Amino acid sequence: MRYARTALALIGFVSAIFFPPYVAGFCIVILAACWSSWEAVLLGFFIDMLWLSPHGAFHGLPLFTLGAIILAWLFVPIRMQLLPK
Amino acid sequence: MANVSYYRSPQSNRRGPQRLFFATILVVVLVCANYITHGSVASAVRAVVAPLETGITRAGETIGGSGFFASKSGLEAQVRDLQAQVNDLQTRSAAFSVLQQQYDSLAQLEHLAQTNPGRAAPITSSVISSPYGTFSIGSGNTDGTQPGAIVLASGDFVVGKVVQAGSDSALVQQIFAPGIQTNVTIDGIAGIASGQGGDARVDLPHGATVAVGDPVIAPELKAHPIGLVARVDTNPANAQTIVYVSFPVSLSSLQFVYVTP
Repeated sequence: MRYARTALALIGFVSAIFFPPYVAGFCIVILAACWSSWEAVLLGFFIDMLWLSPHGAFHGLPLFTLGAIILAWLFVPIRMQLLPK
Repeated sequence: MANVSYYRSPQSNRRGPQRLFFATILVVVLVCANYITHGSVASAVRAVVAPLETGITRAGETIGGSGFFASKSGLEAQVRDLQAQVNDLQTRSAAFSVLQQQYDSLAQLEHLAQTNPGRAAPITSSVISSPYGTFSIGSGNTDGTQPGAIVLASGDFVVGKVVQAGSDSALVQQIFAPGIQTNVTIDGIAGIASGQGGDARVDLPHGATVAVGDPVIAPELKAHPIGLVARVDTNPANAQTIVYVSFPVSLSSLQFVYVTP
């Protein structure tokens, strides 16, 4: 599972540079859903630092960073409930 | 069969959220620092990524050119050549229709006579990867590229505007990026082009006579054209005529752009 997490994070970072944004977005969702993933938060931040325009839509709000933080913390209690103790 | 267990010790259960908490704090601090320093964190990230991206792209080209993927690279080269020819013809045709309209009015003749000081710059990033409709160019503060500079493609069409400039690279916001609004005129009728990512939409008064292929001029961008009318929705049920504007060439086929202050 640890390898899957690392691989998914690597795919996310590479796809943030070369592939359409939904690929990296998908990696963030999977990482956040399966683990308490700090990589998901960093990946969202990385996408925003790479591409965010201060004059863009929503007044330059870092949507991927915020989305990743919200998803990562949203899934923490759900995962705690669902995983066996 | 491997013994896979989803049991988590209390310690590892705590460690995950702890790391996530610290990552969240770090990211929030860096985002705030980026805002306060007007994008210096983002410029630093792009400065690290740009050579990496160029290196990987060149490595891919070297492997492709070595003959390892000979048949595939041959076909790709053919497709590229044909695509370049199509783009060239489309650009010439688009530029011709722009010139035709500009010759029709003295004011636009003046614009034609003006030259655009500036410099050519390579596109150094993918144009499909950005969720915000941005891309990077290899020209920065050291070359005199400043935020607000207009970025042109061949045929004098505006691709976008520079929004952040680092030392050797700059971030360009595409005109057709989602949420970007630009004042335009089509056949002398004023409107606002709202970017939709890939194309733009202009709402004109009902009954406006606009034809497919008409150039769309942005007076605020030194009267450069931003695209051509691709489709006109004249549904009588609508209160307005909806015009869809597209860029005459595929952005992903561009390798260089022209930056003018």
